[in-house]
Formats: sequence, structure tokens, C-alpha cells
Amino acid sequence: MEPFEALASCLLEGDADQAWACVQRHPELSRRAVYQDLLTPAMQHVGHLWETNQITVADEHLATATCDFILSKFAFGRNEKPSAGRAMFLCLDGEQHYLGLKMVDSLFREQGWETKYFGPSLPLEFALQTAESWKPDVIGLSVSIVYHLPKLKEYAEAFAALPNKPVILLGGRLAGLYDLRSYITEHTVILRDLPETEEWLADHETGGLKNGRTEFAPPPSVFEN
Amino acid sequence: MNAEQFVDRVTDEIYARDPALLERFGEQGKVKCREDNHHHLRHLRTAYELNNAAFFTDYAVWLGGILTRHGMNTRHLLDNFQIIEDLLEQEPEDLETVRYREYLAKACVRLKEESEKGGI
Repeated sequence: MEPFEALASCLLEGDADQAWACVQRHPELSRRAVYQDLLTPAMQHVGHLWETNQITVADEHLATATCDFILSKFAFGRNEKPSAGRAMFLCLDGEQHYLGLKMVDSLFREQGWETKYFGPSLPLEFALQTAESWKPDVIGLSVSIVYHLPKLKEYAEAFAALPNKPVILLGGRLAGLYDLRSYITEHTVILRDLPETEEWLADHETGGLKNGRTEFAPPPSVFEN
Repeated sequence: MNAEQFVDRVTDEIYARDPALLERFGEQGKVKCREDNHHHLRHLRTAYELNNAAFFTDYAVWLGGILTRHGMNTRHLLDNFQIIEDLLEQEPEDLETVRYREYLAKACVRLKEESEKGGI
């Protein structure tokens, strides 16, 4: 059994202690690697089990809640004098898939950012209120379900019009599947996965490129697998 | 188009064409059928608003795979899409309904291809 399958079993049992022990068996992995190579494939495996009628919706929810707990445990703890900047992270209105966003928030905190993480589904008007008063340097958006996409442009344009001109980042399942550049503003940065997020953070730290990718190379369609 | 009313009409038509569904899945099946058709319409609307058929056809293939693995047949989904197409024909013709029918036709082609390949 692959490590991510063992982890998926713990998540499906709702056994947070065992799930944490699974993760702790790999002290050599960075936080990003734990997210990318253990938790993400474990949750993808859970999704596959649901799609193939091997588990129920209740099982999937239990796994999600347990994974959420593990992510919180990983990220828990105060950043000493965060100095890299301010970043806020939210899912578009209606979007309930937030685990990836929570991972990204955690990576930013690890790199010394002060963050606000809003979890699932934040209507634009409330996101704007916070953005106007808190003035983040970065606003990260996540979208995973296709029928939430029509709202994306409205979010991207509203944030781009803020006086302090935050960098807008876009991620989520759809960012890796489709070329979303037509639905965002020119300066929105698309981050298709955690390694790209890590790359962006490293570039930012060294004052390098902030505008992300300019070309889109679609990965093989997951629907054909 | 009023989505609620349209979905009700689609559901009624599905059960009128195949009354055995009610015996097999009961009233709860009808509720699920209505939910599924709201999802179909949401994806059609998104594909239309974003002018990208792939948002609907990819969804159709993904859903076809799931339904097959849950003991349904691709034929059920194809029939469902056909009924939506038939009822759209009765709606006042505008760009939106024309596009919806195009997307449904494309999705049916993809579903048949995937089914022949054994993918779903």
C-alpha cells in the first residue's frame, strides 16, 4: 500500500491521531511535500473511491473533516513577527472546496506572511470590505467547480480596482484543468498547483517575476483517465 | 427560461417515457433526477456564459463515468440529454437555447465515443 493510501484509510476512519502519525512517519518531507505528495493524493484517492461507488458521501465528508484537522494542526502556531507581507485567501461565492486554499495559506504563513484565511464561499461584497480596510498585498482566490466560474471575472476586476493594487492569485482544481486567462484580469497570476505556489513565493522573496505564467499548456484531461 | 419549471418538465418526461424508473427508484429517485437536471442546466448555462462547450462536455463525460460505476447505463444519460434537447425545441428560439442544444449534441457524441472505448 502506498503511503497516501494508508493515509486515506486513516482519513476515512476519521482517525486524526493515526492520520497525524502517518504524516509524522515522513519527517524528511517539507510542509509543501506533505501537502503535495501525501495529503493531496490521499484526498484524490478518496474522491476516486467515491466516484467508483466504494465509499459514501458521509465517508467522504469524514475524510475531508479529518484532513482539515490535520492541516490545522500543521499550520497551528503563531508566526513570529511575520514580515513578508499580508495575504488573504478565499473561495468564490458558493465554492465549498477549500482544502487546497488552506494548504496555500499555510505555505504563505510558513514563509513569514501575515494571512487571513476565509475558508469556503465568501461573497464578493464581504471580501471587498476586508480588502479595503486590511489592505493585503496579495489576494488568493480558489475555484474548483465549473459553475462558479462566471463569478471569477467580477472578483478579479473588483480586486484589481483596489487602490493598493494587490497581486491577485488564482488557484483551485480548475486552474490546472483549463486555460482561465479569459476570465481574469491581465495581472492575475494563475498558480496551477503547490509547486507553482512555492515557486511564486520564492520569486517574490527574491524580488523576481511576479506575473506568473504567460502561456498555458493544458495537462492531459483527467476526464480521459 | 424558468429553470425550476423546465427541470420539472424534463423530470416528468423522463418518468413518462420510462415508468419502470418509479418502481425501481421510488419518489426519492425523482428528487435525485430533478437535482441532476438542475446540475445539467447549471453546466449548460456556464458553458454558454463563458462561451466554451468543453465546460459541458467534460462534465458530461465525468458524470457518465460516475453513473456507470454506480450501476446506471450511459444510455440513461444520453436519453436524459435527448429529452432536454427535445424540450428546448419547444422553447422560444434564442441564442442561448441554440447553444444549449449544440452543447448537448456534442456531449452525446463524446459520451458515445467514450462508451465505445470502454472508458465509461
